[in-house]
Amino acid sequence: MKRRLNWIDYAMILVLIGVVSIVAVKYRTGRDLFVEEELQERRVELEIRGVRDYTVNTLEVGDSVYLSKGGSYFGEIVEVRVEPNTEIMVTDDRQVIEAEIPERYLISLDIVTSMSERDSRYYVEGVTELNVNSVGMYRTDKTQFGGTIKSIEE
Amino acid sequence: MKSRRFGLLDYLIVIVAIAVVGLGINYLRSSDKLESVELKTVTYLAEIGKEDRGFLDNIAIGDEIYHSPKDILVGEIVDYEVRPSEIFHRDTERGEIVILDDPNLVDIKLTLEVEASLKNDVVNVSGEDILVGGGFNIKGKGYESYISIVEIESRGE
Repeated sequence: MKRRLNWIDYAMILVLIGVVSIVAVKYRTGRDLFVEEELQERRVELEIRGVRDYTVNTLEVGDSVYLSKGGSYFGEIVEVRVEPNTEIMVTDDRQVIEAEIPERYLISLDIVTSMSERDSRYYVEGVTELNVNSVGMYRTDKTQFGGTIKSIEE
Repeated sequence: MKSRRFGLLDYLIVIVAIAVVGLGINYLRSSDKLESVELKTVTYLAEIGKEDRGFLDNIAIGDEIYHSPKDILVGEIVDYEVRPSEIFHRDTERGEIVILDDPNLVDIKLTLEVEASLKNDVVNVSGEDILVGGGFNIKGKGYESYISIVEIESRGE
């Protein structure tokens, strides 16, 4: 006797179709689905401008850095350089000078990241595209900050 | 009444259900979700910037401060300090930038105390990470504003 399908059977079929569709779409668009990408360690310079000493005091060599959005691992801080933040000023006698902004700092972080390279682009942990001039929000376990990528080691 | 025999789809459902339960337990174990979290009293400094002096009438020690959109308690004011807001003056004659006191606006540095969980070095209050440089909208007793977190003073050690 032929059995009629009930709603659970239909639900199961829908789930199976969904799973197959997702795998098919991933396979067609993300060609690296089944290929392990080779990750290389690269040094990235991240610049943080105009922060106060509170932020300076929380950043240390060895800290792990994550992307604020999504929380993905970005890399490890290997060097922290701090200098006064400055801006260009034209004085009354028309001199162009670099004036220090009091109590504001410019921090340069050297971060070692694991990156893959494909189609002439860099991807952190093989996922997040990263370019010089990329602006983003980052965090460690103690602090969060916005920064600009100034260089990516070739 | 004749009992229905299990079909192929029924077996598949059972297998999927077992797999889902197994994965769920594994996830909870691996991420320590089943472990109880120890709470510690954390003290941190947060700043309310550029408010009228009149706003100070609202601030009182003992006020409970809530994260405004999420409505979670993020601390009780145990102390506060007031100073004039900063004005960055570009002195083009001398070629320097100087900080002047704003005659009308004030910055209020709150010392907040809260029961928080600590995993690694991350201070977390009811799901909200307390990070230096971060901030959020707050509500106190009859007022609302925005705080920027400037320092974790004590992690309850």
